Amino acid sequence: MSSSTLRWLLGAALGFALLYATGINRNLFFLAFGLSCTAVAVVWANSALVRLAAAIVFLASAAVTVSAPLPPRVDVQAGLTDGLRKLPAGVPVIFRFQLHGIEQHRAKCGPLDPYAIVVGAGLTALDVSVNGAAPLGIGIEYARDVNQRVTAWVRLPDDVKDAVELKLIPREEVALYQGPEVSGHDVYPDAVYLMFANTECRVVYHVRRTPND
Amino acid sequence: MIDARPDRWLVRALQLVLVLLVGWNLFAYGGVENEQFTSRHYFPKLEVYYGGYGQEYFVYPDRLRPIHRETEYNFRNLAALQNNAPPPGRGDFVPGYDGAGRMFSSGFLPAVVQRLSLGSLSLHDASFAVNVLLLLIAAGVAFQFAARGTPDPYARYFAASIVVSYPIFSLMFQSLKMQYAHSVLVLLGIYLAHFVLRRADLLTATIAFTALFWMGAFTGGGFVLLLLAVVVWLLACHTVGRNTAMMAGVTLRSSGWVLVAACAGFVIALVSSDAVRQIYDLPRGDDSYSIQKTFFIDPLIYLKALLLHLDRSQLLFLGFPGDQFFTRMVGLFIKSLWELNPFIFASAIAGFIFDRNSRALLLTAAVLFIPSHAPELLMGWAGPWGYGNAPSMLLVMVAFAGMLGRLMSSAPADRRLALAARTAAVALFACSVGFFFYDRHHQVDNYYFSWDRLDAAKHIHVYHDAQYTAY
Repeated sequence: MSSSTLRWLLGAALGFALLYATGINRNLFFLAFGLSCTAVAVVWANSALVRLAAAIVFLASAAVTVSAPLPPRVDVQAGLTDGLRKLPAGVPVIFRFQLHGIEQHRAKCGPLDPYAIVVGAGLTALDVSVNGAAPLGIGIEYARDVNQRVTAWVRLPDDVKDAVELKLIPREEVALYQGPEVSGHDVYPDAVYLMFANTECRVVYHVRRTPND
Repeated sequence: MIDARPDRWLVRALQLVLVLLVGWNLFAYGGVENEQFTSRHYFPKLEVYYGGYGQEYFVYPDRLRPIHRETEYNFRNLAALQNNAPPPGRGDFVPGYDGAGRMFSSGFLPAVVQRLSLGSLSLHDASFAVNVLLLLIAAGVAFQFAARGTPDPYARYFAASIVVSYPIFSLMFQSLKMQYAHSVLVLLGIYLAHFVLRRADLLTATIAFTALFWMGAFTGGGFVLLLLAVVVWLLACHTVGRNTAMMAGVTLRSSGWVLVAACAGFVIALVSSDAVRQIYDLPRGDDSYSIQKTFFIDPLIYLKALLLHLDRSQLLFLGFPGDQFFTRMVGLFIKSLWELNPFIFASAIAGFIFDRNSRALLLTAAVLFIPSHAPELLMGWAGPWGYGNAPSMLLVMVAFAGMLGRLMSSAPADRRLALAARTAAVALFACSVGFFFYDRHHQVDNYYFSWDRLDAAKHIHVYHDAQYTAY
């Protein structure tokens, strides 16, 4: 293989050197990577056709420059402070969930434990009620991330179906973590969601808060 | 006794299985961005960033796509590589594993695709194309490795099929950082060193190694790991690998020349890549870790304390305090390999004992195992991180495929025995590939530091208002 392979390698080096010398490509990083890939392809390949194809691919790519700007960006947490949004005391916040497909999931997965989950700060001062009933008990978990988030798990009645109106009433000022959850172009900023879970399945529902707050 | 004559129908069937596995991976695992998905809040562990690291998003016509904190650096590398003008300076590069370490795989390769498409492909589409290409290259190298290293006609198809099923590729199809590229490089480097460059003259071999090391210089540790892999492989060939089919025609002299060429290529690539690094003012190293401290200074101090029977609880050995590296991390790394695929892991151990032909590959894989986990050791990550297994795992897969091939071709004189051996080979192959597909959530967990995050539920259904997504 040696003499033929060496000729191919030297030819590839010459090609890349010409691109540099003629000023077509002055980006040494790109040229060095391109030459490396061409050299490895030449050594790896058995046929002249594959070697030629590899050389053409990398030399051609080095000969053109493209302007493929990155897509525009959006900061979905812009304007929020530390990812937390304060809820003033006494002002209720309502989330209306439609439980799409929950019966089918129950039929397939078996009984699912229903929870409302709220991520934020000061959540022990939060009353959480469902469908207008009395406030439910909440369990608190402390996360271990840099923000030391607190997660409130609120066990919902087992028989909830079709729809859940979740009402959060702060007795004192509390704050909700701002996710964000994204679907398509829609942003779901509040870290408040429903989860129906067992060891087999996990069904999660996201909605935005109703705009009455 | 091995029957080297291929059964045409069996070969056709294995070819069909390979094509189906490639197709299934592209179809089933092309759409989910698992790194973002795994850090969501649907899982019991809450120590990860809520919302999959997402704060800033790219706005695409069909959806918003999150920008991971880590991949931010890759965009800057890519921008500098899209242009034929010299990069404007230090501002375009970021040091360490996250930035310069991924310049080749996450910067150069997508830039090639974007250039060839004349800019019509988006960053995500170009990265997807690179991910698929790397999957196919890995499968191609595994195929050739098995084809030239084993005497039977089936191992090559097993090797390629197992590699394309390896979740390290398919789980990352939508990712913008190809941090497994150096694993493919190690497999390719050993293959070329053993089967191609042995027969080349010194100049050709040196040029080829220089090119390989240049690619590895910016692929997150691939640079040094590749040299180590070649050295270990050559040693393994002349110790446990002696008198095997893989060693047909191999002499100590040819190994010596390969070693010389590899060392020369390493030095040339090191010096030349550093020169380019300096021309463009690219910083070397990262303040967040120190290779010298983790791999040389701390272990020496630890070993000295061990010999003198001094207190070691406040000392570090390979990034972890006290004896934790031995008491915790080694077990955790091995468990990660076991969790990845117990069938392949157990077969590899059995193969080392019973299959002489696979020993060189398996010994090389074993020696590379701890160095491959360098990122966890440097950063002090105490959890499973599947990428750390990949350089060893790819070698183990080729060895495993060789064992399956031997089973398929064994005992041609006894039909009943041959049938039993073939049945065992097919069953082992089906179990190993099937395990990769059986529980993808568990596989994702094995890559991201926790075995009980996604694995807490096999099926995850998410509704955003009425919009339904199943994971």
